[in-house]
Amino acid sequence: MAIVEARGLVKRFGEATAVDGVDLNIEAGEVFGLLGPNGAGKTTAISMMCGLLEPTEGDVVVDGHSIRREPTKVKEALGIVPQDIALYPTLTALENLKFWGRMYGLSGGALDERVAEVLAIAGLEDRAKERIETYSGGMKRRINIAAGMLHRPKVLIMDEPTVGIDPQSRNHILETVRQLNESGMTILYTSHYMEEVETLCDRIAIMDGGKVIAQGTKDELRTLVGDEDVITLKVDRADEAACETAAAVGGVERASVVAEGELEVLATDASETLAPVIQALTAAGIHVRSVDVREPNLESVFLHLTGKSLRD
Amino acid sequence: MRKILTIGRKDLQLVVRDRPALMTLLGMPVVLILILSMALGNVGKGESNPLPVAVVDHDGTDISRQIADALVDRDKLGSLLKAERTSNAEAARRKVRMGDLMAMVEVPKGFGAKLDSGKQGVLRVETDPGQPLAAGIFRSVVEALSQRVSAAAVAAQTTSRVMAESRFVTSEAEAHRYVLAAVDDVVADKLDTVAITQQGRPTGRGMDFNALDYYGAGMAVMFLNFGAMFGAFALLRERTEETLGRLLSAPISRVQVLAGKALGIFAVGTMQFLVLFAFTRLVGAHWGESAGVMLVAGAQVAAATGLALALAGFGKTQRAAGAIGPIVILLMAAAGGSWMPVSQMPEAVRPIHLLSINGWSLDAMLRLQSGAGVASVLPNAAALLGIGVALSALGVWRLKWER
Repeated sequence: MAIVEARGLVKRFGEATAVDGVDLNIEAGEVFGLLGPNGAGKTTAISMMCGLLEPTEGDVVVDGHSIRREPTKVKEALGIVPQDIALYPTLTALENLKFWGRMYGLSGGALDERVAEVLAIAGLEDRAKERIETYSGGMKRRINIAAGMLHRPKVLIMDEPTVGIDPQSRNHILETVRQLNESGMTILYTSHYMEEVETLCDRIAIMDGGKVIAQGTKDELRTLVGDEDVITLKVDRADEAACETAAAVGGVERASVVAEGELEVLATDASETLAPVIQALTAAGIHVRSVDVREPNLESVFLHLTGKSLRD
Repeated sequence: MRKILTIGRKDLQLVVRDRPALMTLLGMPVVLILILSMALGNVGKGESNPLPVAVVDHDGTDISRQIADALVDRDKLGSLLKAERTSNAEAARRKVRMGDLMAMVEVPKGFGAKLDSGKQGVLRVETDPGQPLAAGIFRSVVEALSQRVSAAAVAAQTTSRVMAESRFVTSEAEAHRYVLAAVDDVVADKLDTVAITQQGRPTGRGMDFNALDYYGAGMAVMFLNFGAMFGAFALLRERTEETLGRLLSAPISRVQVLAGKALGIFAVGTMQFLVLFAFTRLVGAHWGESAGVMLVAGAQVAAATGLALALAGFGKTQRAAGAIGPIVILLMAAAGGSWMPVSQMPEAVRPIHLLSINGWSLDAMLRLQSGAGVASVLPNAAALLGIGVALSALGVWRLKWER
């Protein structure tokens, strides 16, 4: 049963169309990933889902309530973890959590109890009375998440919750997401980190240019690429000429620049194609520094669908 | 309502924790009040800009001429007043109502005859309501003069009647000369006193004018507007730091969010005023009737809350609001009399003070300081509330909710 249903969502800002006819179905109890590069329209789509932006066209139904007709019901069902740290830096974690709890209608003993619970989930009980401004980036992110789940929302929307934090805090957040999902919470997780989405999410929608360009399970999405292997080559000169040289080798489906000094080559059989590709590049005066071969992943899917890297 | 109160309380808490903001909102006005009241203690007593007064003699008797001459005699008046005789009473009255004259004195027809017959004569005074302090002083001086002259004339007339019975005075003309001489004595004596009083400091609270009182009110009013600017910053920061987005994602309406923010700004302004009020009282300032002061302060804080919303609406970003805010606040302070009394400004610029929050607020505060009651400041409080509502509406209309 779909707990979140977006139908034909469109958002225009003047002449620019940020979200262009997005349809999404998120099932109750799943972790749904929204993957796309910066500027793909993920945050705008989420803002419409949680009532922060009014859709130009379309509607979002959450737990049976339309954001257009019953925004308060929708907001009660949703918890939001914004991309930025939406907390008051000069208030303590405890004061922040109590404030946000009250905004969701919690009070008295129920509020105290819930604040204690989310502080425990964030692992910051012993620093609850310290001001947020004294926290590290990772600790702030953990309280930012805790504030979003105070009222036990049916759906927790997490917008890039691991941006700019240390690996330890990132692992803690990813583990928290898993635990929340195991407890029955539906999670909509947006990121431009392919690995996170691939690890956490049951189903994924890939967005680019304001549209959902693919949607399904990881395996379903991988089949879009076919059976090609992905060869990543670190070279001293990654440019159009290098791509053309690699693409000219037999068995190579496509070659593209994915990062500075990095080529990605899709080949039907890497074991047969790798050596001729390296020889062709070397003959063209391009020095190959390292090689990585793997099966297709979401990065490859995105590359296949758009012709560009997620990191572009 | 609970959510509105929670937002308001949180905003007050944020300001209380913000030391630089507290220094600006409370420390700066305290320092300025002390410096200005010590350095400019002579404000309102200076030699410059004598207050214009018209004298109209409708009676045309030698007694009335004596009084009119005394009123226009600069030597007797001192330098604070500049009186001129005129025969066009209606034109003078219009000038008073327009604020071009501080006051007009009319010697009514029959004034001399009343004094000659031993009755009390009354000088009529009309004053500019825009200059309550100076006008109050002048009115009381003329009324006192009127009473003294009448008393002296009655005494002279009674004396001459007794002398007539004793055959010392034989004609009415001789009795008239006694009255005239008595009036002359009083006029000379009283106007000297007037001149001293005008230049010095009357002892009655009703006419007291004191730099500490003045700058206590002036700086409080100006810094309440600075408090409003910090309120605008807080609202704009909510947007840039994403907390506004989080608030609007919660089950709370935009009206509730705005009401909470406005309540927070109002609470900060109220706290600020109470602290400055208590401090100035402690160092000896006189504010007048407390109920009136609180009424005006409440209305001023409401107007400042409107200013905060307008700054947030038109400023769009904290940087822009930070550029516009001080200019608006300092212009209002200058025009509205926070730095120098409106009555000391050139006549041409005086009416501008009514375009500012400071002008309405200070006018009311000064009325209260000069002994006026709550009723006299009700129009000012209403004007301030009106300004608050108008600025709030403008601010809400222009407010950008999305980042």
